[in-house]
Amino acid sequence: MKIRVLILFVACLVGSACSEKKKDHLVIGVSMLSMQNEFIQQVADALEKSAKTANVELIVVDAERSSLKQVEQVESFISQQVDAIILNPCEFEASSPAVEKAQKAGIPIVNVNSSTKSKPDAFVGSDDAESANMAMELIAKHLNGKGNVLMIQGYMGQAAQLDRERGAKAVFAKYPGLKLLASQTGEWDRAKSMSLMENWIQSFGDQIQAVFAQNDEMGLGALQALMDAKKDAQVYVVSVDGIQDARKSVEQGNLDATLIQNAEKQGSESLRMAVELAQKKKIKESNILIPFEIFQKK
Amino acid sequence: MKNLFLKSPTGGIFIALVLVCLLFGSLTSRFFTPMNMSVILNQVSVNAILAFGVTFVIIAGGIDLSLGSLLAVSGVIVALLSQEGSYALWIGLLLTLLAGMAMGAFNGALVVLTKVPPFIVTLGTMTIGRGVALLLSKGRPISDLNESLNFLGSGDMMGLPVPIIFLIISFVFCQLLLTKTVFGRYVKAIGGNEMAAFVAGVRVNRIKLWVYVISGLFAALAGILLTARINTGQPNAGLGFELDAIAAVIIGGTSTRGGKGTITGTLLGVLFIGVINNGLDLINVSAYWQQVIMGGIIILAVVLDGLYQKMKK
Amino acid sequence: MVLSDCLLDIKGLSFSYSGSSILRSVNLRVEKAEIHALVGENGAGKSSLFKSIMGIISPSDGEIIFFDQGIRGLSVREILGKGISMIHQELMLIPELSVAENIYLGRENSAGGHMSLAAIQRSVQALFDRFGLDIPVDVKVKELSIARQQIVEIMRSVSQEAKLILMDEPTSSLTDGEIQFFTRLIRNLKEAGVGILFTSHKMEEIFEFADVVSVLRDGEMIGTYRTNEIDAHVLVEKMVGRELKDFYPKSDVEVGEPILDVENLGLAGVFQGINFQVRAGEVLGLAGLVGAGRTDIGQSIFGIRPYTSGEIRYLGKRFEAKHPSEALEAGMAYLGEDRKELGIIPEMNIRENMTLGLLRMFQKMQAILFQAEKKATEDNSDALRIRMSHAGQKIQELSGGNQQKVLFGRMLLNMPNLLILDEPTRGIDVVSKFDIYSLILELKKAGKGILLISSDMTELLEMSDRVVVISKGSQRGELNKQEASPARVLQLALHA
Repeated sequence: MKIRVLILFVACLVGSACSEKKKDHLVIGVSMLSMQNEFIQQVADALEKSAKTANVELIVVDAERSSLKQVEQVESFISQQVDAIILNPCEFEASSPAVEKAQKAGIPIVNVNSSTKSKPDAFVGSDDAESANMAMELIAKHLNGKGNVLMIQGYMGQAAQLDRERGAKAVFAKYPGLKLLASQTGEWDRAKSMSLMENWIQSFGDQIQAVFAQNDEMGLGALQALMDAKKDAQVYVVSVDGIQDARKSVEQGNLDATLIQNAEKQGSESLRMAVELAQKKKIKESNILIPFEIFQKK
Repeated sequence: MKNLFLKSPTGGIFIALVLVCLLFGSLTSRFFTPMNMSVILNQVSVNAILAFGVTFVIIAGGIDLSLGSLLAVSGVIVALLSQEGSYALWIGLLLTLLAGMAMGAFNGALVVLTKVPPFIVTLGTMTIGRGVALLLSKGRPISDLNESLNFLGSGDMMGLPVPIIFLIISFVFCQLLLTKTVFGRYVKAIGGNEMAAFVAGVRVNRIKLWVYVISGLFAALAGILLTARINTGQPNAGLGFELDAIAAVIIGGTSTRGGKGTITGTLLGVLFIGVINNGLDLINVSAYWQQVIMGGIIILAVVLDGLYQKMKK
Repeated sequence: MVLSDCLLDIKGLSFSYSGSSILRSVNLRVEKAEIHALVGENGAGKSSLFKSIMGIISPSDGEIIFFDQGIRGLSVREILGKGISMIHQELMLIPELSVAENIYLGRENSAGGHMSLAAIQRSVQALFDRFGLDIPVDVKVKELSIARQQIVEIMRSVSQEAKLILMDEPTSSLTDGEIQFFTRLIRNLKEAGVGILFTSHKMEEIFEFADVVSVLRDGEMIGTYRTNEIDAHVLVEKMVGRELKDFYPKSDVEVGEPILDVENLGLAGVFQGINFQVRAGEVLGLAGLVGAGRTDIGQSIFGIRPYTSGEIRYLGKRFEAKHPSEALEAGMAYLGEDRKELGIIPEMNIRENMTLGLLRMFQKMQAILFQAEKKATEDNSDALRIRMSHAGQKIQELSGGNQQKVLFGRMLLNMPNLLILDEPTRGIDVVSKFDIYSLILELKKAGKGILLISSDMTELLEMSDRVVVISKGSQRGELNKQEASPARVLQLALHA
């Protein structure tokens, strides 16, 4: 009797081991910051497209801006024994546990677009500081190194906001003639930034010469306020991300410039990295920075 | 006249509003300009319309947490219907308002038929609504809107910005509805003592349904206005707006227990919050401090109003 | 100086507020060791009189002499110091402190320095022993019954050596058993020489322990009478200012056709097999113990709780109200047993409360016709003698009796054929009760039918022409005027 049970038990073990190997494609878990953000959506779309070509099964979930949720999602991926994880972090510090847990479990993890304190196996993104730098340089050039600038920030404390602020401040230091009139948060939101800009127009009136908005939604909101006040011609507005609406606005001659963050490339490259890591291949470059492109009216 | 003012339930918040205006007026010369006054009214128009609508619900003893979501859905609907070169503007507006009323009716039906507390029901429809907005818009903002829609948000009519005209019309309509009609009287009665109103012959369920329809209608109007102002139909619009609207209603003197409240009070509450927001930006206070100060001033206003009411007795 | 027995002598006291005179040249004397009752309908000026004595409000004219000393114009503190104190309806004790601590509250530092807890307790115990009270002095006040808390409050005044204690409706929150407790204390106080001036609506207790009773009416002192020289009937007449042939007015009224015909009415689980008729010009009383189902029967007829079996014929035709508004429109009216729960909208004013169910009478499309509403409610209020400052007053500021009258006004706005009255005189003052009984008689004469539900046996039997007894949801019998006696009714009501 005991022998029979033992044989049955061993058969199951072997069977399960075999069935695992039966899988012919990779499974990759993806946790995105927020699917309500257009840019992040584009990254996710790019991931899906690349995954299809590479015959990879993708499990995409939305962390809804919550680090806690994100960590839980990664834990779930770990217990599902995925082959790799692609993480679009919510927060620098608070999303770090997700990275640590994945590494502890031996599952390769790739960060896309934003960074975390804990270093992942690979990172694909753009240098946020670079985008702000480029934007401010455009403004500096337009104003010939001298003039009044307003800055609209994203959610205070988020990695993107911190980096973009850093990049902008560097340019201010470089051109002493550039004056920062005021800097407030528009919370990445179009309507909020519009109200903010309306109030600033009351405060500063014609003193405003340029506006740097850390993302396109806020830039478009500020632009709307300027257009309503008929001041858009005299104010140079630049923002970051390169979403469709922004590009259209530039083409129509309203928004002065936007810095395109290549969502397509971020998606496809991070998938490629994840696949290579899952296949235990050796990777050459673990930090891939995709440059921003200036989009201006020709 | 003086007696009438002092005895009115909105005397306290009116004084608070005046004080806050004087405060900002003294801190910056930019505050009391006609342009700035216009900006403030423009900015509060969306919140005001939302707040007017929900005032009825709160007076009737209920609450509506789905306002922000209904606003977003309506904004998306009007954007979809006002694409450049598609339907005439008025069709889009009409259908959106009807949609708002339908969503409000959904809320009302659930409240009346299921006996589940309105807080829970509208918490649920708040989430459903947000999902519907995302579904309809496929998650992205909708642009390329009809020029005439933008006019509603940025244009002028008879010397006043259109949003302010919307604000005035909504105020007058709601004020008349609440104070001069049978419906308004019934709303107050139900909020004051629902059982007694029922026994007295008031068709309670019917009235309750209608207050939610009104709330939905005005949420749709607010959604149209917001979309017109930012020239995009945004599925994420209106996040947290229900809290601002309800705060304005409460600050304005309407009681959460129901039976008591005025549209004038709501307007004053909306202005109060709007003035503070505008003033703090004008004197360039940091965003963090703005939150703290706003919360502090609101508490102060409510406490002062409470003292004022006590003094009256 | 002649040492009189007179504790309090009020002469020619007048007081006005907002242009209306509340007290008009009032004279009142309270003797030592006298238990003096003060009666009058609500709004007659009783509380203003008390407040004048206590120095809370300043009268415009007159004298208040206490122990041969004029005290008008003194502050509240000074008056308390002279030995006059007042017990309010809402007790002012600190629940978390002990009995002894409450009694000495604020006076722990008397002559001789700070008193220790033990010393306070001893002192209070001695006081209680003197008055034969068996309330423990060291328990927290919140653990005592309402009656005992009230006694503690009274003893607080006594320990402060009060010579005159004013009490505002002292027995309103007490049960019958507790009232005995209170009565004993009052008598003990009397023996100790303390004078007591109290207001009350309850005839029984006034004649039980008061020595004299003064009647205040419309701000004027009508007279002071010894309780052994007057009876309740006359007293009420003096309060009302009219002759009452009978407290429960009666007259022969011709009875007409049935307005309401209830046949085999039932509501599953609550009542069944109810049969009766209410004819024009008559009052049908529903008798029974609390919980027998009488309220449910009334509510079923009116459409508040639709019935499940049986039939109702109204004015000869089959009728079923699925919602109160249907019953209202048909010409029925309903007064619920708890006006706070089922009657008034507290935040609304008198006018709004009166017109609530029948706003359609003052409505044009959706708009309210304010002028018409104002006129109708004013006429109604005058007819019912509702006492108020103005029709814009919030209804919760009125006395119970006047609130009830407003609800009656509401019922009468469109002259209904049938009135269902559930405990119509509960918790209201005696004069208003009489007004309501007179009103019922008027309605009978006008050919209306009335279904009366009441727990007040006397009221029910006196006012009803016929009585139907309900017990545990079933009908136990129908009695006519001659047959209906308390004993017979109880017998049927207690039927298992």
